[in-house]
Amino acid sequence: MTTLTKLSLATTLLLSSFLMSGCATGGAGMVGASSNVKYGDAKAAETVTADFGSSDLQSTAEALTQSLLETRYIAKAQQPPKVRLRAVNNLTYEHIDTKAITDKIRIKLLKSGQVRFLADTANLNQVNAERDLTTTATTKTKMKAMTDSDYIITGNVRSIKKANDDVKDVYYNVSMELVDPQSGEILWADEKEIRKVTSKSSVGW
Amino acid sequence: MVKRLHLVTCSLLCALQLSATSIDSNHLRVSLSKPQFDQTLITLREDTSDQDKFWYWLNLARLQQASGDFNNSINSFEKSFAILDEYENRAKVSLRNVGSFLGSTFLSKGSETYYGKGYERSLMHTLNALNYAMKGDFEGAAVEMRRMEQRQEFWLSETEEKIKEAAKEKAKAEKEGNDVSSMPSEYSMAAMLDDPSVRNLANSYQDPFSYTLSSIITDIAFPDEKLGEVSLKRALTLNPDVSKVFAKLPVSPTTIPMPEKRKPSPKGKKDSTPVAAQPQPPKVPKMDVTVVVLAGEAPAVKIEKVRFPLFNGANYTTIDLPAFNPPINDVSVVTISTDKLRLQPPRLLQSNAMAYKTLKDEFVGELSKAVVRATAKAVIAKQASDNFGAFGGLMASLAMDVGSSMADSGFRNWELLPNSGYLSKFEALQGETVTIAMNDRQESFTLPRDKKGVLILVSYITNDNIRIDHVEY
Repeated sequence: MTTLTKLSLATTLLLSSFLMSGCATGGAGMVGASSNVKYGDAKAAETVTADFGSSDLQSTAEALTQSLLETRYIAKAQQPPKVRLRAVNNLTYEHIDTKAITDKIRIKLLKSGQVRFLADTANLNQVNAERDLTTTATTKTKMKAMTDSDYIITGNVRSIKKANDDVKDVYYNVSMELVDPQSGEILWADEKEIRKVTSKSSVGW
Repeated sequence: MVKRLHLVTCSLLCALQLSATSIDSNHLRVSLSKPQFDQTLITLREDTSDQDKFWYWLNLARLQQASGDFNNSINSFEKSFAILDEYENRAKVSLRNVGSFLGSTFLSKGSETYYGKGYERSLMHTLNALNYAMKGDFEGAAVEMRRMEQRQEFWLSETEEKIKEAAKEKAKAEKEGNDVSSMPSEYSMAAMLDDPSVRNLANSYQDPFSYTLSSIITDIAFPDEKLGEVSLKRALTLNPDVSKVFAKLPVSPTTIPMPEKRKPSPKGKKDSTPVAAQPQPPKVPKMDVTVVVLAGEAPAVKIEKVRFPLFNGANYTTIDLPAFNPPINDVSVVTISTDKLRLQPPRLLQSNAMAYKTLKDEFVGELSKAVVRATAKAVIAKQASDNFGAFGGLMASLAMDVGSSMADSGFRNWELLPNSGYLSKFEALQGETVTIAMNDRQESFTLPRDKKGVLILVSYITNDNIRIDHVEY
């Protein structure tokens, strides 16, 4: 057997073992045993993935709160109106914690001092239960006052995803509305649009 | 030479032993009955050897769902999504993809890493939607149903690539004088792939079960927006039997529907309808009941080898093609009955037909590749025979056979995917008993009171291992 033939056989065997075993491993990333923890800037732009992330949450809350505070129904109100913030519907392809959006907006609005908030409908039972414990300090009129809001805020998060061989494009639209619950009239509406584009590298592992 | 052969044999045996540490497909599928189920789940969960595999997490997720552990089932599905996302987002020229392609072209079908077919990629989201729904998170369930539809887009582009690749392979094989348009007579799947149930499917990745469920879940999550209509239309296009999914109670004095809230009359006009003309309130209010039955286990992929003797008969080569072990533990008919209704929901999910349809669509490409592999192996066997004699040729054939068998054993699909899915949405009276009959088994469920609806999930794993979970809304 010539050296060349031996070399060729050895190369074939090596290649075979690489192709049979090495290639069969999947791509799930494993977190190594050693990790390096450090504090980051909570407001820094986060670009780890194209998913809805902390930067999007912050910019959305900031933009929509500012817009809402500028509306005449709040800016020129005689006294801070009572508002109930309803859940924001998630109509996207991701499991977005929409409560994080509403919480953030609520905090920003409350800090402005221009609105008063009523408990969420989801929490209303708990609030009522608490009040039942202190019925002596409560009247039915006050109970009614608690459930009557001047305005309600509702919203939706939508997304459109498109991808081809090279590029993945994700568009998010977060829209909110201020509604008069008595008339059903939409008094204010605004949206925050976010577009994220990720591209594939040409060569990689 | 004997020493060298000894070394090769030892290496092969060691490798075989190493690859045999995980729970294999056959063992997994026969260990699902009630007495073995918990142990199987523990064994699978604690098996760390396959946690980088797409199919591993899908199998685990189904078992966790069937044991009512919806949170962990979601986590397992998320792991499989992450593996698939990583695959879908790889670089345009990925070294792993190239290696996998070369391996599957020249060595063994099993060198390819399995990332699921279109139907599996859709159904993993459908099953995960049920996890969210069973937790009462219908909005999360609706997200999964949207993901199900979106995942199909990537599959379509991947399939287009495969079709082009198959055409090239076919042309190449035909140029070399090989016939790749007809199936080998020894191939066990030949008749199955030509079955009318397979031929008549519109495609291999869209199923009416997922679309109908999507419509129901979306309507529960967003009752005012009628977002489920599009999905329902798609389901009806795929299978007209979808219309049999929905049933209403026959109108009778005890089942008069709740009167709808009276619409406010236009300004200035007084509503002249006398109050006495309103229908009497029902004695027992009705509610919506949705029953989902996920039954059996889908076909399990395997690599089938057709061996051909070469030259003087001492050496041989193999054509290895993907094939399936048949589905198991399935239900042939489901009957749902209440006091006033008796329903036979259609079998909307037919995983076996979708698996066979996928194989049929990809067959030309698979056969072309198999012919190239067989030729490469024949050349190596011939070289070994020329250099080491007939015994050397035989040993080379055996070594390649054993080597590819090792790689093939790791080529697995979602073996615990439900093979059948039945879906029914009907009206019933609150508090009444719903009876669900599957094969010779019969299970009963008492409906809750003071609820708008209930979603019942029946996980039929084997005939003695059935679990019923429900969520009220």
